[in-house]
Amino acid sequence: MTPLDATTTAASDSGKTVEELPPRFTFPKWTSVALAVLLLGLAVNGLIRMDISWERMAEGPANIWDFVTGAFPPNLERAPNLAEAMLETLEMAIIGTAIGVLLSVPAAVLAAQNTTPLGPVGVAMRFILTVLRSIPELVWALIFVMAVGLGPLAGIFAIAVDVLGFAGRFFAERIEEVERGPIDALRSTGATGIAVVAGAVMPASFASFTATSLYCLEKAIRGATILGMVGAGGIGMELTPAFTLRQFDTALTIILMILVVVFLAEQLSSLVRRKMLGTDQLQRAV
Amino acid sequence: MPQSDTTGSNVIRVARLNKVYSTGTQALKDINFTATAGETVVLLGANGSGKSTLQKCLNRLVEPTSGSVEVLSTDVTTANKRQLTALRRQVGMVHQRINLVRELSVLTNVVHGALGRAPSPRNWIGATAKPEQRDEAMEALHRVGLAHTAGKRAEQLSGGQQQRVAIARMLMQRPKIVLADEPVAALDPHAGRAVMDMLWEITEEQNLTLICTLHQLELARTYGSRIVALRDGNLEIDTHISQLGNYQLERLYTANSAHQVVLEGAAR
Repeated sequence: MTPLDATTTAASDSGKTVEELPPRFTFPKWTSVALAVLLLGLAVNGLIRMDISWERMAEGPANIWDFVTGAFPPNLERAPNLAEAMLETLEMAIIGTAIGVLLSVPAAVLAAQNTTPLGPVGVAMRFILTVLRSIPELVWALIFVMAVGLGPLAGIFAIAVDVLGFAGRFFAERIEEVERGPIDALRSTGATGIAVVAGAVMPASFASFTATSLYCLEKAIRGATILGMVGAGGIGMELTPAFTLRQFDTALTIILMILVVVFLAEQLSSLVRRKMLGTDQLQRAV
Repeated sequence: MPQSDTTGSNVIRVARLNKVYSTGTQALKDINFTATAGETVVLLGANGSGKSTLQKCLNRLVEPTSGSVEVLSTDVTTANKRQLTALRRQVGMVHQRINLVRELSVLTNVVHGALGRAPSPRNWIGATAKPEQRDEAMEALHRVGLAHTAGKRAEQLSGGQQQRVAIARMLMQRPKIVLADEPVAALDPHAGRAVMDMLWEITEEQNLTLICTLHQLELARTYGSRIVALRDGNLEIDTHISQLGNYQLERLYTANSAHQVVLEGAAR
């Protein structure tokens, strides 16, 4: 049996009931093959086109060794300044997330198919949220640095927009999952649309909104640490000069600070989540 | 309908009502039916007999296909959005699935009953609600014997208690007509009785028109006075419970085809 035969039998299988043993190997669909060839082609083309220099790659380990030896022990000389920058990073993340989450609630109500006042409004809102989400946070930071100048204000805007795109979508999805019954029950008392949203939709979504917001804050703290690299405030503003001036010991201090803060943020968010769910829900169930 | 002439005027008038769902199922065929103020009607029938559809046509939660429906002097079939909201405000509903907002307090759920007539945003939450509404809600809770649960979350109550809270919410709406859709189908027999007793007492005491769908014969026998029975979308019986023999009632639950009826007859 040639490989070609294998494909023809596989194709005719669906038509009639076959009693024979299925073949060990069926030829993959041509679309999968085409996709695999395309990806492989791009990768190979890249390797040829980018003209990668093997000598420079060979220098890598030595340079990293330079960094490691230069970085230890971390330089704590500028620790107070760095701590202040770190505090700014945290504050940027908190303010930005708060703005983003607050804007996400009405945006999600407009976007969710079961609460949108008009079909087209929902489609438009979902499109806007997709655009906000598709543009990376760092690009938003560049745009806002251009708009409002260097500093934490641009960072706050960038974080708020990023959170809006993310939380807006997740809030809307949660709203679409809210049980129909209580909504209809409130509607049948003659309550207005806004009252139904406030009285039935929001209470049912609140826990999920809180969990998503905490995740956004965690994500924003991580994101805020590098926004400074494009001039949008925070600790990132210290990191780039540390590398260009080869002050690796200061760079390491910054990296360690980021590590600690992001780790603490994660712990805090999971602690709050645990408190919210209650011990009952987190008992081993299977 | 022996009592209908004495108690008052017709608050519900349904004439030649048909409902065909988009799937092609004819749920109601030429239904004629009236109810007077203060009357209690049990709509009886098997699953899929059309009793819920008939009930939902009364405040147009289901759009009638043809025929006329008049409720509290509102022509339901032609009413615009505002008239319909005004009508729904006067029609309280008790649902099979209870439909409280589980995450909110019992008091808040009851206060929500007033949102139609007291739409102030303060009434979105029990804690901020206006004093009149808070007091009235407590009174309604007192009436259903659950005043002590006012501060609990709705989901902490048992099914029977939740349905009683739903009755309090319905009371808060100050309706003229009450539509109860299988109010005890989700409850155990004991809790079910308590809820049925309460519903019957309250509608009697406030002289409300009650249209209650049921599928359990026993409950219909215990609580029913006027029985309106549907079978495959046809109104088969409209009479006082005492006029009904068991055979007639049980016939409602045999399958629609004549074939099935013959088989049943042969078995007897």
